[in-house]
Amino acid sequence: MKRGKPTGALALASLATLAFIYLPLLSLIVFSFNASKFNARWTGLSLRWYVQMLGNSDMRQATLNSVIVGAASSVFSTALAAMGAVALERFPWRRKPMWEAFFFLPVVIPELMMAVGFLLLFNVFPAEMGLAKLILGHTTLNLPIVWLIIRARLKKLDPRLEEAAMDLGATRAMAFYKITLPLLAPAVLGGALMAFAISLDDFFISFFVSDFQSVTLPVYIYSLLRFNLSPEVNALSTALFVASMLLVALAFLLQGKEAHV
Amino acid sequence: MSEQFSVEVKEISKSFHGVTVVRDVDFDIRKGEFFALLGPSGCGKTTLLRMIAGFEYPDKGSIWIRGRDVASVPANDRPVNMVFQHYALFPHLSVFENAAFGLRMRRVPEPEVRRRADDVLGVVQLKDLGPRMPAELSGGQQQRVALARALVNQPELLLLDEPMAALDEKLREDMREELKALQHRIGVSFLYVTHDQEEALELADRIAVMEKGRIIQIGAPQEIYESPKTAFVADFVGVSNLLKGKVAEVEQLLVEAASLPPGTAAAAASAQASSAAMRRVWLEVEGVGRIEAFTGDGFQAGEAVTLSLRPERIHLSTSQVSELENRVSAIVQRAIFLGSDIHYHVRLASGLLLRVQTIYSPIRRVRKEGDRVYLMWRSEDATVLA
Repeated sequence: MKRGKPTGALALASLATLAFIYLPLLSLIVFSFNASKFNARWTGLSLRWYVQMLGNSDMRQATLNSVIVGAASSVFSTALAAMGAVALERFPWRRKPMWEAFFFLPVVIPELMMAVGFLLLFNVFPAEMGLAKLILGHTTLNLPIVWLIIRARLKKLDPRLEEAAMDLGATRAMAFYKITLPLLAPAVLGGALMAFAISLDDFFISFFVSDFQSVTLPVYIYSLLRFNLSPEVNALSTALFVASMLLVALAFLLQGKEAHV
Repeated sequence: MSEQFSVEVKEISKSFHGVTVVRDVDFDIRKGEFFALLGPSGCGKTTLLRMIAGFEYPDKGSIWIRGRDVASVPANDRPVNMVFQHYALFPHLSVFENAAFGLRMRRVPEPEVRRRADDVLGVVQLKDLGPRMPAELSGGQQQRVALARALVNQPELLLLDEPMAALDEKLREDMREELKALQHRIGVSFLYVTHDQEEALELADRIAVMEKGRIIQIGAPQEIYESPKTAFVADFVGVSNLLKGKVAEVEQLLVEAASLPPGTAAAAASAQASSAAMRRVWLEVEGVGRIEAFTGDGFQAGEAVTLSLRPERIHLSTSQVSELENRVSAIVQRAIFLGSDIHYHVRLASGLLLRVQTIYSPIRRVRKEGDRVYLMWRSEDATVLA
């Protein structure tokens, strides 16, 4: 077969696929700048929904909750994932594939199941610990992704680097601190950002676990949709989307950088 | 424990998951010696090296360095350092910091770190590249950084794990010479692990040939080459024609080794076995016929043996040469012109294929495919192996 430009039909199909994926998103973003109160009619460019969004105190509280939960769960899941990845990769384990499977299985477990599970489990906590429950739930949610990112980097690291450090007089702890950790840093940071983005976007666990004081942004958006279809939702969603994309882009940038080490 | 050795390895063995990788290995390296550990991949040489470095611990046996059995001492507490196969330079540290790493781990004061790291970079001629990062260096330069980093703590013994493997052919030859010169200059003992027999022959003062976890033979390069102890050694070090046969007759008269022509396999064998006497034997070699040879080992008539015959020891000619005792006629199957040498593949009447190597000279005829020739060699030039 001739290698070159894709044929017309193929190019068209690709474009159609891309349109299918991005059209809903695009319409959301476009209508968030719509001056009209009704989504269906375009009356002109305006930032009024963004202004209204910023003035909404419920929204501000939800954002704050999301950021707290995102940051805390990101830190916790990254620390746990890094320890788990290093422990599994650098020490001999019986049935290593089984332990590894336990780490990343949550990625494919239906989130709804996990959410209901948390709901049941968290009954033992006092009701006012909403944020703490969310942080715990999100830590579990993020862990497998961060673990996969850090493990991928760790697998690429030559184990002889640590041996070389020990050969030169370093203890195992010193070799980890001086050699492995700095080389792992891009993956750790990238994983943390990814975790933040996942937590920010999460709906299921947040919906089931949160209470009135600990509503997160996606749950808040959902609650807005149920009562009135204000274009403010568009603005809010767009802002959330941009924040997530920035986080993920940054995470990828860090991952890309490590390739040149 | 003697002061003349950098390391004495005594009867060490190691197995992984029930598979013995190193078996009863016993050797020592003299101070200032360039010692090569030669063997095919999977022979256990890397495991042996890693046990001396302290990355693996032997199941039994002892490793003596500077008057101490270090067999169960971790790597960071042994006065040996290693140059890794692909160097394992710290990619996030500059050349200078790579070289200084060993000093920093030993909490050497900063001014001394500067001085000693600069010195050792000077030794490997990289003084000006201190601020560079390893990824910015050529393969040869990276190897020098690895050497500097390993030498900075002034080890009793430097371990080198196939250090040329990451370099291309041309550079490899240059680096070999440089490495030999460096070792000479600094006087540190080297333990050099390689599967490349040419490297071992060129660089080492002594070679240990390993096969299946055991050291088969230890000796100077010439000894190993001229009088291999087993067919494996003969085949692995250099190229050899290995011919199966049987001892037909043993002469009772002993021959003074001193009377053997110097430089022959038999002379080397008698030096290796430190036996002054050799015996003439006649072998019935499969596909060749009756062959005369010398041996220092006490072979008996009827014993099955292997005759090792180096390709360059065979004289190939269209006319018979009377002073060469062994003679067989053959037909040239292939002539390979290699510039300085010509390699022949020749077929005997029995169908047996032999390799012959001759030096090329424009005034000598190059034989062609199908040419009828005589193969001749002196009795002293073949080695009889069990």
